[in-house]
Amino acid sequence: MFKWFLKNYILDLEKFKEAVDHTSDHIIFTDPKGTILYANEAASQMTGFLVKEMIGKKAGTTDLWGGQMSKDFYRKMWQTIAVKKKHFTGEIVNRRKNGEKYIAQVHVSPILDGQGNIQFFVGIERDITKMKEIIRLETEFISTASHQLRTPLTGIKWVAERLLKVEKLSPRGQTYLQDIHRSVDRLSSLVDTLLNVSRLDGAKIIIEPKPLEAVAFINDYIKECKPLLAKKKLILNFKHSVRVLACKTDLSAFRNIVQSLLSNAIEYTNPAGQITVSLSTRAGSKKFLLAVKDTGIGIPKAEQAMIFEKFTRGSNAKLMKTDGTGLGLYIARESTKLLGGKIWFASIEGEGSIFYVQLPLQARAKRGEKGLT
Amino acid sequence: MANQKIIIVEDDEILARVLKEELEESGFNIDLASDGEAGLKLIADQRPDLVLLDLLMPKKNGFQVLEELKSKPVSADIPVIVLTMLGHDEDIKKGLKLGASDYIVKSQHAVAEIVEKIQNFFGQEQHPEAKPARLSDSAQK
Repeated sequence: MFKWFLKNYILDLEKFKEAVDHTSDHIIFTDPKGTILYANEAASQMTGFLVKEMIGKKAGTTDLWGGQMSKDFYRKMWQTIAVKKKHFTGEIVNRRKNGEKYIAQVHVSPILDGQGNIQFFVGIERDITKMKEIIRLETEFISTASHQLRTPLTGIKWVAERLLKVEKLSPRGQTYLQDIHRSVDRLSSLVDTLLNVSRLDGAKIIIEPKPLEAVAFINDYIKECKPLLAKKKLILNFKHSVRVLACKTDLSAFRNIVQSLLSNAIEYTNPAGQITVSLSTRAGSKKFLLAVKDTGIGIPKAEQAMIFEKFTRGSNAKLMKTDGTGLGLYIARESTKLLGGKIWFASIEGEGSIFYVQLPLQARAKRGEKGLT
Repeated sequence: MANQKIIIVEDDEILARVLKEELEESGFNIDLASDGEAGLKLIADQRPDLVLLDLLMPKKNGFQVLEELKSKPVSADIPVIVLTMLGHDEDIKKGLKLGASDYIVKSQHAVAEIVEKIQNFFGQEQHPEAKPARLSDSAQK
């Protein structure tokens, strides 16, 4: 009986080893000091070292594929896995045996015994060099393309403005020209939106908090919306619990949020409807709250959970307005996240919506490129 | 503010011409250069009161032009406003770091607004006691 059990156990173990040996991710086991006990074939393929060259050597050193990051990086990693005994995940630059550098997504887990002592470490790496390169090229492409698009767009816009100003046109001619101008503005804002999304996706955004007076900022923005509001006979109220609201935040991210919420409210509220923008903070609080309420078409209940997702539009919104990117709320959510805030809403189809954005009075600076998690 | 001399260094012919016409109508004296090298030469010859400098240009890009201008004592005090496109925040930062007085995001403004901004710029220069409000704060909108 025992023999039978043992035989099956060993067979299972062998199957398990086969699986680990041949999986496509690089896997190593090390002892509590970091000396390599086991490495699979993918580890050998990725790094160029033979398995027998790895065994007995220290992981994460220049003896093998490691040692390319700062001392501080390795110290923090060791602190996490050996002292705090937690998982470590991050992006790491390594070097293959032939000297070629590569970027890996690395995951290291300490395996603990019943007493909480480290038995060994499991390190898994995935080569993401190609993926990173693709993302970089894609972001670069969109950025270049949008620049290339903007120059002629600006040209059309400015020439139309000159034409309106300098030449004597018939009323019909003027209308046509204004139509050109309006279309160019729409096209420009589409390009802006797409660029925004590509930058959010590429995590290229830099958050640079600067002093901002939010009441004046929103008042200015509302002023820009006046023509649109007048056209739809919408009434807009701006209530603020404080006379001025001084904060430190990133201008573009904050503008994205205000723009997205306000333009949605204007776009999806029927003529003669009401929009209320409110801004509030409590004394001593480190946060403030922006709310945009409308008497618009609302968001159908079944679609509410998905409404912040990219390219998602309410079914009733699509009926009301055929053109729309479904990117506004996605940009608002991502921008809110970048500022360290929260966004949520309540909505009843056919009655209206209210969107809330809670933001810190002092946003934290953030560099481009995704950092280590 | 009439007769102040501005040099526009911009490789897009249409944008440069429209900007020139509009600024000339407001009484400025305008010269154009369509690449970085020509721009540097023109600036050295003419010593303008202001340079409007595009960044992406053939031969020498705007950053190189800016760096050279600011590194030479003869041209270091000529104010430069960088012309850029939206979404190039890093460029703006680099431009300001290299000594640009300000920046204008071309794609975000009607051409008349840009003229207004330039008039404001000279207005501030003439009243140094006035609050040194940055053009860029309003240029961001």
